[in-house]
Amino acid sequence: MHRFSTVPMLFAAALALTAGSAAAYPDKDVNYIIPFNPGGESDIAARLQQPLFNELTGKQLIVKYQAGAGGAQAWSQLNNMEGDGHTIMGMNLPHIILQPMQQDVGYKTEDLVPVYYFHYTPDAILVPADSQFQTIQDLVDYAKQNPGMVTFSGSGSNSANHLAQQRFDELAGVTTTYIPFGGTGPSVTALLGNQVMASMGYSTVAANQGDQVRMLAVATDERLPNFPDVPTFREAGIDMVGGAYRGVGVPKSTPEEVRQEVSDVFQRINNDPRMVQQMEDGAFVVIDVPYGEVDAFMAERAAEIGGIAQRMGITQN
Amino acid sequence: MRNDWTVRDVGTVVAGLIFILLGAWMIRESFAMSPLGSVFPRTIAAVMIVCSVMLVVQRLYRRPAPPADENPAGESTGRRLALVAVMAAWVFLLPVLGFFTSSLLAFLVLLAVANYDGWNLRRVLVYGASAVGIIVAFYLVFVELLLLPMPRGFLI
Amino acid sequence: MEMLGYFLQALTPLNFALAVAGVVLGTVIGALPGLSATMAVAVLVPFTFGMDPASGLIALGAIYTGAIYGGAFAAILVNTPGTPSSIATTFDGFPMARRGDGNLAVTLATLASVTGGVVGGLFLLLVSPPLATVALAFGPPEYFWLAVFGLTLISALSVGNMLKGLIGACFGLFLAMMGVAVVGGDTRFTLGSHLLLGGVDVIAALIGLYCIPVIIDLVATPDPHLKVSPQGGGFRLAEALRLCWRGKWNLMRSSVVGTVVGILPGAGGSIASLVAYSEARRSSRHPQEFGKGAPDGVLATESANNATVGGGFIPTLVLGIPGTPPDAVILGALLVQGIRTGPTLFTAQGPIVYTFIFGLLIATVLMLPTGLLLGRYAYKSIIAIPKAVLVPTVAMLTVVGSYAVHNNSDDVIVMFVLGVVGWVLNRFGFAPSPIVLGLILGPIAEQGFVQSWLIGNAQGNLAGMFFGRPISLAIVALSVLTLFYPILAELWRSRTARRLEARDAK
Repeated sequence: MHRFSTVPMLFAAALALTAGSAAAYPDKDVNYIIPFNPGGESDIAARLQQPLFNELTGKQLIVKYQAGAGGAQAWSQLNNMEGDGHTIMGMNLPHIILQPMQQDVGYKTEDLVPVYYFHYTPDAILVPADSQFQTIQDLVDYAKQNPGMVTFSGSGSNSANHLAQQRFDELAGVTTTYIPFGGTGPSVTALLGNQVMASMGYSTVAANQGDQVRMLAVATDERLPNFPDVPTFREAGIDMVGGAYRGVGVPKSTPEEVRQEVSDVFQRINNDPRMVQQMEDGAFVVIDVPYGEVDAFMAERAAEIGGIAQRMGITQN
Repeated sequence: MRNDWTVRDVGTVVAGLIFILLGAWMIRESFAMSPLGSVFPRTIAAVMIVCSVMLVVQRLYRRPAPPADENPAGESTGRRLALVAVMAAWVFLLPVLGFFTSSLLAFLVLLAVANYDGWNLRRVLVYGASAVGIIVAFYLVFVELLLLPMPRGFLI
Repeated sequence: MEMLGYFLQALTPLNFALAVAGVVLGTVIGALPGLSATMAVAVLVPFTFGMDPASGLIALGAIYTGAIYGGAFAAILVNTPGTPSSIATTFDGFPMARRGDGNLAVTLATLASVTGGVVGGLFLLLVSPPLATVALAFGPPEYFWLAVFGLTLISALSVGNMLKGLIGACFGLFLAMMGVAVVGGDTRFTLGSHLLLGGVDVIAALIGLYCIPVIIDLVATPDPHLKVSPQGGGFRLAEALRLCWRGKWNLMRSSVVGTVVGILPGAGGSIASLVAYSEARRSSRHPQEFGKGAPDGVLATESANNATVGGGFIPTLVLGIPGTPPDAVILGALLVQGIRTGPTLFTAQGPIVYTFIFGLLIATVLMLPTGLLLGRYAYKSIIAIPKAVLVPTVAMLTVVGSYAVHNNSDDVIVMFVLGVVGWVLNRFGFAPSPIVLGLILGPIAEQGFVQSWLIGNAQGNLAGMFFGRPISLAIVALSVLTLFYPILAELWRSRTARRLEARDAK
């Protein structure tokens, strides 16, 4: 532990010196609003960032929960909050692209100002440990013979999980039944209790539940370092890469230089070797999208998500 | 039809009719929903309508209960209305005036509404001081201790 | 012997001090409507990073258990549940306070909370792993029937006025449907406004429906809010202990009910205390006293809701599935400390887990002295504050409390409008409790129903899904019993009476 901690401290000190004393961000504790209930991946990520933020800046990152309407309630209010960099909010994809496409949720995707994206949790298909399905091929074969019989639990309707299940059906040429639950927790509970045959979730579920579940395939380019035996969807001939992306955003009134500073702080947290290790243990895939690259990144995601949503027929606007 | 109805009986029938309308509206709205999302609203609306119809019919044909004291002497409807009006103003002005200003104003007016003991200088001072004290205490607990962003107005 | 070591570990001066501070803070937060255990625990998590894991967890656990207990103060003294867990405490707690037994009710609530908390904690300590399977055995059909069972409690709660109770429940269910649906994703009954997209918040509704009518009626008369006890002040501890002894079976049953319901993720303290309340009423020899200030009612609800604390930690620690929102926050704190929950937790991380459980038990026992002192203080202040100050203070609590839930002034408007509607409805005999019950149980019932329907359809066995599962059938039987028990009991009583008459005539 001691070996690691000096590196970022020096790094931080160096950065603080180069940045000069003009902008001492943050100069007080920062409110970090998570637009969901506690216990989900966004919450866990925030909790892991919390101690590092304190170490880097000497200020606290205070995690608040403001759940409602799948996050829309918090996002629709973000721009009414104070734009001084001391109020920041979690940003989730595909949510902030998908929701405004479906209906009037009180915000538009382009009104939000994400400043940094730090990781994604790849989509993954999970089955209980005692399931008859040993490989993804078993599941596809079964689904082909019994259309609609395979039940997938997932978090919410028209959500990231629902989108992934639709994509899976389309790409694998099968028909499965998606059962929406009130969150990742209830969805995993249903899986562990054998209420459903499989779950469309994230790789993080496999990391958290250990050998109670088996991950059949994961939607990454390469196999996850922690799960060398779990194939990617591509290996199984299903061209699925992606998942739920997470980052932070600020109110629109936040000045450009403060946006950049928030992005810098989170970039430093995200690149900290301890963070990288914790992310790997939890089966998150670390990405690094700083403020300068956010626009291009969002455009790419929007094109991808928009296409599937249109085919699912859930777009209204 | 009887004409010895109590206020409560009239209210029950009116409430029953309103609930029937609400149920009808729910069913109308449910046609715009997906099959999954419309099952539950329709079921509940149907139960609501059936129960409300039964309630109204029951009130129309049942012998009314012996009249209870509807508005016992000494109850002040005026003060009730004043309280509701003040709170309505408070609730809607909260985002405009900010927490501190709107609460202080509403607190002082409510002190007057709820006071039955008359006013003298001592009471004015003590109550006024407790109003400020309580609001400051709340403000400190919420804003400083629990770090809640309370709405701000032009004063504070 | 190992256990003794963990126990002593939990009793270090630091841990003990943290437990005391946590319980006091939690009780105060719980007593204020709108301030929830989740909020308190979430704000304080960063302060525990500097502590060693067990100490940090003890502090968080103590706040949580204190907050669930503190909800009873507001329920008894102001007729407003401080947390959803104490809804049912208003039924008998407030009538007791009105007739001058407020201090007795607070003492009873304290004793019951400690008992429930200890029972839940002991289950957590001794039989967690097997009990965690209960959480898994509950699938969508079970949750659906559980919610239906909860709704049948309305028949028990609104005796003589069942139609109005049912309509009230439907109105609550309607409120619950507002916003974006979890299943189906429809936007329902929002009147085209995105303000209602998130739905009606339970806490805001609770504050409005219970608290606004209280202050509206408070200003209408010059009478004091509560009568002063004819027995004088004090804790009335001896009297309360006697009542507890008389209600010992009630206490035990309610604590077990609380533990089991606490294990079910998504059910929570409000359902636990309602189930315990209706069971207490059914098995009581004087069911007609319930709702008019029966001490047994307070014992049942308060022991059940504190038992959910220990129960809720069972799936949290064993399966990594949080039983309640505060559990989820504590789970996050555990992860940061590098502790992975799951079946191996009790063996791999034994010292931390057992120290934490003992810490929780110690905190629960500490509620006795701290709760009695705080309760006495709260009771005295409520009596001492002149009405002119009490009314605006409670009014302010409603505004601040409903705002604090989501830091959102729209919730304040929802709270106020529902409060006025609730007052009017109450004047015409529609009580607030069925409405709140509908609001809480609505989402559970709907999600359970649609999920069961989807799964049953996929498997081609719709009837089996709803009526072919043993736990479901047991809950269905319980619901039928609850619904018809008052009628059955009446029949049985008149039959025995007739038989006795017949025998006497011979």
